[in-house]
Amino acid sequence: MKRGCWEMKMSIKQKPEEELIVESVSGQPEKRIANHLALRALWVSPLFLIVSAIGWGLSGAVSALLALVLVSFNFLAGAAIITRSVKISPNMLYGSVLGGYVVRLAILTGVVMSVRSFDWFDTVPFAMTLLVTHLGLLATETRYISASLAYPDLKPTSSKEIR
Amino acid sequence: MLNILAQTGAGEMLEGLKAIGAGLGYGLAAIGPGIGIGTVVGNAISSMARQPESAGMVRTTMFLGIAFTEALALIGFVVFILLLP
Repeated sequence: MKRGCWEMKMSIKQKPEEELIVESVSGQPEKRIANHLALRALWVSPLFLIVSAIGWGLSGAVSALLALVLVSFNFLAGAAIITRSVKISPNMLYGSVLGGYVVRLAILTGVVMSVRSFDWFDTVPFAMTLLVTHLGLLATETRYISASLAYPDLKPTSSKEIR
Repeated sequence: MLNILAQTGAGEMLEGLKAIGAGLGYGLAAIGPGIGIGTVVGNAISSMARQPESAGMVRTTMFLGIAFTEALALIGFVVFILLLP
């Protein structure tokens, strides 16, 4: 009877720790961080859209939206490249990260060069959103990074807690 | 070549020089981050080879390092699209 109570107490005490451990198991830290960054970009998007809409009208809002999409794509593509290539070999990782950098810059340039002649594209809100979002999201993400042996990616939280 | 340059107006010449400057600036701005990303990834691979158990942590740091370094290229890109005629 006493042993049963002890086990029950232990199970109650251990429950939150188990949740944390289950959440932390992830073989793809960069993918988790990129998903978190993309989610945060979605959260801050109304702010940039409203500011751009106030300053430059509808074209500014559309340009800011394009910048947010490109920043999220950049993070997700960079993480996907690392996740796929790290499974193959270190040489592949090296080559694909450097090649991926060039390809992602080329995609960014290609998209902007193809849309810059349209009326709905405004350069200033696009540039402002691109830079501020990229650097701001990364700077705020460092608050959520654990980078320890137990939790290599994000800091552990209970699964129901919203980050 | 000089004849062609002499026939163009000052405005056209200025636009062309702006475009050349923007392209050169973007290209030069992309060199630094390329070297930086190479250094980051090279050191990350080295540390993963030395301590395979810390590979997850190293990958996290590497991803953030790459993203921060890439911001420099994005600054060059922004200057490029702002300078383009």
